[in-house]
Amino acid sequence: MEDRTGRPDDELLRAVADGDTGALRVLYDRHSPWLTVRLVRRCNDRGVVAEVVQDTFVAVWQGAGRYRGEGEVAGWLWGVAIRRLVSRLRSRGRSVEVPFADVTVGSDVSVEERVLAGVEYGDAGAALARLSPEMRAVVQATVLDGLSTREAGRLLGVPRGTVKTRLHRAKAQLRRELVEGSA
Amino acid sequence: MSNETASGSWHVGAESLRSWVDGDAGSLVSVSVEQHVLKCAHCRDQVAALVPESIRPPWDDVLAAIEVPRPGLAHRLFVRLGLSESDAKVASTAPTLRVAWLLATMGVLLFVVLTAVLAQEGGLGLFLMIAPLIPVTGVAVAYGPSSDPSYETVVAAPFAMVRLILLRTLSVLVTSVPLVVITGLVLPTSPIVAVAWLLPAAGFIAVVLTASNWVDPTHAAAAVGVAWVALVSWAVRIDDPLAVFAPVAMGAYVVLLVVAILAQLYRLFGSTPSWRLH
Repeated sequence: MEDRTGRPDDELLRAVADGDTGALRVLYDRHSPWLTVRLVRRCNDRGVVAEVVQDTFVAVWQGAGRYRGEGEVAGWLWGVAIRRLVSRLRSRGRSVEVPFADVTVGSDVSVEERVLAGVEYGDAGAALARLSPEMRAVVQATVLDGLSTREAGRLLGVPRGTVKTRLHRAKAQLRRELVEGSA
Repeated sequence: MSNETASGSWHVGAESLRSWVDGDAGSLVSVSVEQHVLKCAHCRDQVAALVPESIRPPWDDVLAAIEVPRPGLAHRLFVRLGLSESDAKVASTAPTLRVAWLLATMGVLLFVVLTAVLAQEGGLGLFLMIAPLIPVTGVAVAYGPSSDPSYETVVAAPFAMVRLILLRTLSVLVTSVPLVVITGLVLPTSPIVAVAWLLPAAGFIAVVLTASNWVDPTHAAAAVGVAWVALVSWAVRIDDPLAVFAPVAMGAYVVLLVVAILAQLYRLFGSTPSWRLH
């Protein structure tokens, strides 16, 4: 086990694709803590989160071969986990109040990259904070958590069209404050 | 909220990390931490050290979950066709969906074709004899204490017996009927024969299903089988195998089918048959 702990994530993922449960164990030890914490911030039912984390690693076990070696393994894992959460909540016919949150890159690259870069240094923080809670939740689910508008709608329990409208308004507001405001 | 490490790379400060783990962090700190953790193995390790073991599912649970065998081909096919997980499970555990059963069916049909090719007259009689009995036998062994390995489990499960029987019957028909029809089309005889046997087969299946309210379905199927073989033998003896499809006979199969269905409907909400209680 010790000799494995130094191996990079993508190498471990390839080993998992070849059926190595030891490699999955190392990935589990490395990534399940932060995944759990981050998921708890999306869904306050810890029982559901524990199931989702378990689902995630089962999905990794079955689909490790689908990782194409692009980008961080952690980001890929989060993509799997947040979608597991969406489908688990949907099968229970529930949605959650999302407090606030986080990312992958969507379609409108300039605004999103601006937001992400801004988050790191803080200038987007104030702009994000000025969004209404509904719009923040949508920005979090799409821009930060990397969900499609359809998935975000399922997570938040609102129609897809509503997600699109709110996202559009939120982007416009952020663009005004970040791009035009700083020009 | 952050500090510079000796290596010069940026890491989340211990305080921010702890407040994020505890769920006390404000939204901006959270967003920042969550973005950073995606890219920073060092901070992920820091999080792991802060998170209590109890919050994550135990590794043993994950291990147990990945060691569950994948559902079989038939199961996945049924799910794809829109059956629920439990229905698909029940339907796909039918003995007739096993490879051995399918191979046996194909073996029997191959024998029929060979006979037909080598001795034309006898081939038709043999086909008529066997064709309806394949699905009938399949239905008879698809459930019941004597042939279904999952019988005990299913009886104990909160799953309606009628639903089980219909699902199993469906899975039998899906697998055996096409094979028999194809065989009938291959035979050097009228294509009507390739499908005409479906009517007596439907009547017999209905009889077996209805009879299973009182007797073990395999016994019912045996009785029906003997009667059918006797009828076809008689038809072959009088040199007119197709007499079994004469209008009078066809009418009789329809009557059989209707009576059996009516009897089943009458029984459907009745008491549990005695053999199922053993």
